Amino acid sequence: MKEKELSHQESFQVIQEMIEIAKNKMTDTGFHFLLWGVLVIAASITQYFMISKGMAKDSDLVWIIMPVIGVPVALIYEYRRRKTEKAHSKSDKMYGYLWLGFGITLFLSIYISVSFSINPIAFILLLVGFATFVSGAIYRFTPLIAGSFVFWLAAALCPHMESQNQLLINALAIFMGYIIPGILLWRKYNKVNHV
Amino acid sequence: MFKPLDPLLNSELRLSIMSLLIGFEEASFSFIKDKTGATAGNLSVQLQKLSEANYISISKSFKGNMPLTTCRITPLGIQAFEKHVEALMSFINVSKDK
Repeated sequence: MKEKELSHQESFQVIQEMIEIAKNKMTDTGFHFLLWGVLVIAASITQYFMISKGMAKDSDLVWIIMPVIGVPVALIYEYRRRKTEKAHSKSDKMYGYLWLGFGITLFLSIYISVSFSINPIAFILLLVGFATFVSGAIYRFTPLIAGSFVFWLAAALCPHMESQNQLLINALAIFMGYIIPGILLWRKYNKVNHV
Repeated sequence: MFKPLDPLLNSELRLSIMSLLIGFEEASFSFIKDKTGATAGNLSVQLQKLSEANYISISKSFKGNMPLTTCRITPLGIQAFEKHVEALMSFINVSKDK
């Protein structure tokens, strides 16, 4: 690029081109959706079968094992990704705050639900739907927005189902709302982003 | 009425850098070089000029053994960029009115 004075039209063109780069820079690889999607589905199905086999009492353990596996993997992945990323968009910052806030609210919701002996699945689905909806809006990624409606629908179905069956609804909603958009996001990231 | 253009932003490369940094929290030297298509030498000079005007801040660190230069737009830079865009708009609006 040469050092030259610009006409007004050229100036606008330059601004538009550069802003377009920032707009199209996808920084979500979809990894976290895939990681947590697989873990939640595995935990839901495992607990479903444990309850079926009369091991209901110990089955809640799967929800303790799940974050013990997920959190270190997610943190290591994020640390490595941030080290190699050449630019951080403002959306990334909002996105980070959104999911941090989600994590804290999720933890407290589960704690409060369990304290009141309430099954937390419907509340978790509502929260996941909300965070997924905002994520989809930030990156203008329609599959995530569509996924959030699946979560909300699944949450609305929960009161009409037995606790054990809610686990299957949870797994199905996560597959549709996390795994499918996660794969699409992963593909889009690899297609769009090679800075 | 025409508003004055910022002479520092009336160059293609400097305006590209500022427009890029407006959309990012921070960006590395190599990212800016890649997106603007500038040569490393020219980019260094222009970044230095923007930094001297306090329009951007430049920090230097290391990623492994490799040096890493990271740039961010400052509040003054955002203000200057917005004023520059307003000035450009005033030229366009006056041309339309004629």
